[in-house]
Amino acid sequence: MAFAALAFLLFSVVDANAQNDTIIERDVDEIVIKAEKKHNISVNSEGRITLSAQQMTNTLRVLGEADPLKFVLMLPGAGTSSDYASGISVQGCDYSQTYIGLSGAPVFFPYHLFGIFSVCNPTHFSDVIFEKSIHTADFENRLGGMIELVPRQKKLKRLTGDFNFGMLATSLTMGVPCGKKLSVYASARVSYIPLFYSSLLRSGEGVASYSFQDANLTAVYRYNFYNKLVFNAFYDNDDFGIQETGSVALNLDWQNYVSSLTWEHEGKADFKMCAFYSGFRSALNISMAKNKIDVPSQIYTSGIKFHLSRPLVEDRTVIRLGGSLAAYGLQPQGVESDFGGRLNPDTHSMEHNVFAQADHKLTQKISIVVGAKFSGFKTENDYFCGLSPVLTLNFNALGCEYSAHYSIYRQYLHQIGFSDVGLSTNSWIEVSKKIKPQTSSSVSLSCLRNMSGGDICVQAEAYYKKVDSQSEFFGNIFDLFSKNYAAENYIETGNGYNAGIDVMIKKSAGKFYGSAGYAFGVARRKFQKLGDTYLPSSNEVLHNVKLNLNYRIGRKWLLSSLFNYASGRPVTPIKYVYMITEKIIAEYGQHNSSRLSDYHRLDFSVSYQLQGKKHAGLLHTINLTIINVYGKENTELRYYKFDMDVNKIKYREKNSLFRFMPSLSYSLHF
Amino acid sequence: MEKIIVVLLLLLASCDNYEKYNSAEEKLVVEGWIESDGFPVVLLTMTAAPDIAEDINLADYIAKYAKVTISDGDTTVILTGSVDKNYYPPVVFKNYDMRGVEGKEYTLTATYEGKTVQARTQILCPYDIEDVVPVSTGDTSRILDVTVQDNIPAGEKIMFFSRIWHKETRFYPSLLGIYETEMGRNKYSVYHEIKSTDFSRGDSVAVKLYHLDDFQFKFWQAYFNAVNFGGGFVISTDKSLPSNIEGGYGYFFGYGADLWSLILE
Repeated sequence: MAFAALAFLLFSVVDANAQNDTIIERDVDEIVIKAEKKHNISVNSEGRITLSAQQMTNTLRVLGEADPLKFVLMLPGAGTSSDYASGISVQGCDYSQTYIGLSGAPVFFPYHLFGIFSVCNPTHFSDVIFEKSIHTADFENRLGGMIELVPRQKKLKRLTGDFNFGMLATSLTMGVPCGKKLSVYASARVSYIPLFYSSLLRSGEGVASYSFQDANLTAVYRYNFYNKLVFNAFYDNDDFGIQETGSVALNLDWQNYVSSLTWEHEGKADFKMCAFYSGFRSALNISMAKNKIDVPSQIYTSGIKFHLSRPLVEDRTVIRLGGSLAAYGLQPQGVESDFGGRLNPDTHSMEHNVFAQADHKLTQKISIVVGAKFSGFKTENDYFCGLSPVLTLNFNALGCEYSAHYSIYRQYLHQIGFSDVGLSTNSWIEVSKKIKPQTSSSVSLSCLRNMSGGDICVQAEAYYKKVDSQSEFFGNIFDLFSKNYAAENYIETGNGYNAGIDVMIKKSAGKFYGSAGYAFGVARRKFQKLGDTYLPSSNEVLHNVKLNLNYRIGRKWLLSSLFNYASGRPVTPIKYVYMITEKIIAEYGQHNSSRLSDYHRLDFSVSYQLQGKKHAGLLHTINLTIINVYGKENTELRYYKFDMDVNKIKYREKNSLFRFMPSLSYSLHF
Repeated sequence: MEKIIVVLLLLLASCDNYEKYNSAEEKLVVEGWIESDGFPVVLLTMTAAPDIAEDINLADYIAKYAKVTISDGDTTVILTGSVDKNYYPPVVFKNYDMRGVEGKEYTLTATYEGKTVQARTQILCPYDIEDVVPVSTGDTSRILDVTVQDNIPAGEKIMFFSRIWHKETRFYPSLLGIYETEMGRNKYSVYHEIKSTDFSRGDSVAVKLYHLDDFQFKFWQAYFNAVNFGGGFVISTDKSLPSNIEGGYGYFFGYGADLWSLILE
């Protein structure tokens, strides 16, 4: 009832605005604005970073594909536990604690090829926005960072297109003007991995196959200068299969499907209302002759959000109000097979949020953001709720902009699974009496200093997050075959903390531009079952150095390089090995108490751009990228193997897929 | 305060408090069982500390001259170690004076180089196999359909081991051949995976059905997980096996057992 009343109030305010605003729409002749070209990254004092997705297409590529989410990983504070990881950990948080959104809707698993690159087709998007620990009161119910994929919405006057031919996939993005008010962007990408990278699909005992497709659609309807409707749809499909010798076949496929419709009003009060539907489905199927094992899981959500902001008191104060209501459906991982197990029925729940925030300028140099969000989550049996206050103090001193931030964040969904690298089969479960909502109390201090008229800036952030109700899954795959399997029985919750500093210096203009980042972070968790002592989380990266350097030669050539150094990630050491039924069994030591060797890698790319002579509107780009220029064999895994021929146990290391790996791609923009 | 100190120390020293196990004390590992109406079999080895520099020669870790005894509460017998190449490691401790009896509890004691381990187990009632039919996939198969007696109560734990005579020298646990019984179900699949050997026409195949207690069920589930995903990459596990060996690792289990043999035609 209160929700409806608030909505009514908001609509009333907007409506009043619309009546007061004088709508003037005028076609003007071309206006030429000259400015030096800025590159790739912009950052504000709160550590919010905006990456230009379009410009990424000219630089480093993974297997011929430019990947905006991989560019997020070159920023300090963002990381993964492995080259194969499907997820982005922000300041030591779990992958599932990072919100990834597309036009207001969540994307639950935006990865192709087991995380080697994302589903984000860069030519369809204008920007990628990345927030680490400082958020506003309307932040989604997650504990970690935020990555928002912003589709292109520019008003089109002519047909535009981007075609990319890589060694892994081909994509096409078209921008089509449909009258004066409607612009439509459509993208599609298909893969042909066996053509050039069949080695990726080689398996010890069988033949593997893999393909993916993704498609985006964005339609922007500008009703008038103040109002527009934006429709977004996205779908991706991945299909991986392996046929082992004999009669065993494994198939793993997953899909994201996302759509949203947003009404944006800009006037004296800005208003945004969004209806969305998003889901993710994963299915693992194993067939052993006539026997089948099906392991499905899924999550889907639909809902509405609205957001109103209105300046008050001579524009010194901006009031923001809003809320959201979302229904969730979850099917936690289960097994249907001749060997046992049971499928879990879908669970249904509702999430609601109401927030209010005031941004007030106290003086020319000091401003304050005060807000709070009340969130609630209703499952079939329980109701959980809580207040999340937000307080940010922004001030200028000694030529720097500072932001001091405190907030409490909540998350009503947990993710569990058998994979530390974030396999698509990791499934979501809702909170319950046993597995309480995750919370974090977050304190951070951020500082930004601009130099050389903003061409060079230094941004630093120190953070501390106390996290509670963190879940750790202690089950194994074979537990799924129990008729009484319930994931909840294998989960233990604990608490912990993340602390660290991120520093970034960037130069964004001129021939030579780029960024350098350093991050130090600890992420510790304590679980009773693991000895009730603080142990490193799998996402802890103690030291991380990232250097992204670009050099433009004339108007045609661009050289780019990316160097990444990271302390070895935590792993559980093997204490002993022994033999049972002629198989090697490992006895493990304390959880995550050892580390892999340090990781480092240098990637290099060269791009050549050519403007068509006859057709000046055509821009050709050829890109050569070499991943891991000096061929560092970064260790991903250590294990022991029994060699029956000599009756010896041998130490083995599995190295990253990213050895010396060149790729070539061609792009055409028109 | 403790957290702050940890953060500061890590900042200043950038060192890690890794656990080092290279000098960890060796422990005895038991792989032993006694079936209903069968003789006890025990394989005894020592744990090996992992070594990234050199291969581990398993022959160096066999507890060849151990003293192994089994007691059923009334009688204690000594198991004699001898070379038996049907097993690996190829030293097996056996005794032909004691047969497993349903319902009895057995205590194993093993001593080697000053280390003593002990384990207790009980033999549950055996359940019968009624029929075994290979699932044909062309000329070969790895799957057998096993029909068991149809009055096994629901919720009992059972497990299948299988062996191809002449191709294999011992029984191996069947992958996914571990079940909780269900009301009205008496057919189960046995997948012979461990040695990656197919059944071929003319092979003589044997299947054993074991009745497990809860701990044994948990052990074998963890075993399959460790064998298939330990050292795995995408799906990984760092869970150690549970053990009923006091002071050591491994297992000593009593099984209610039934055996079925057939020749594939």
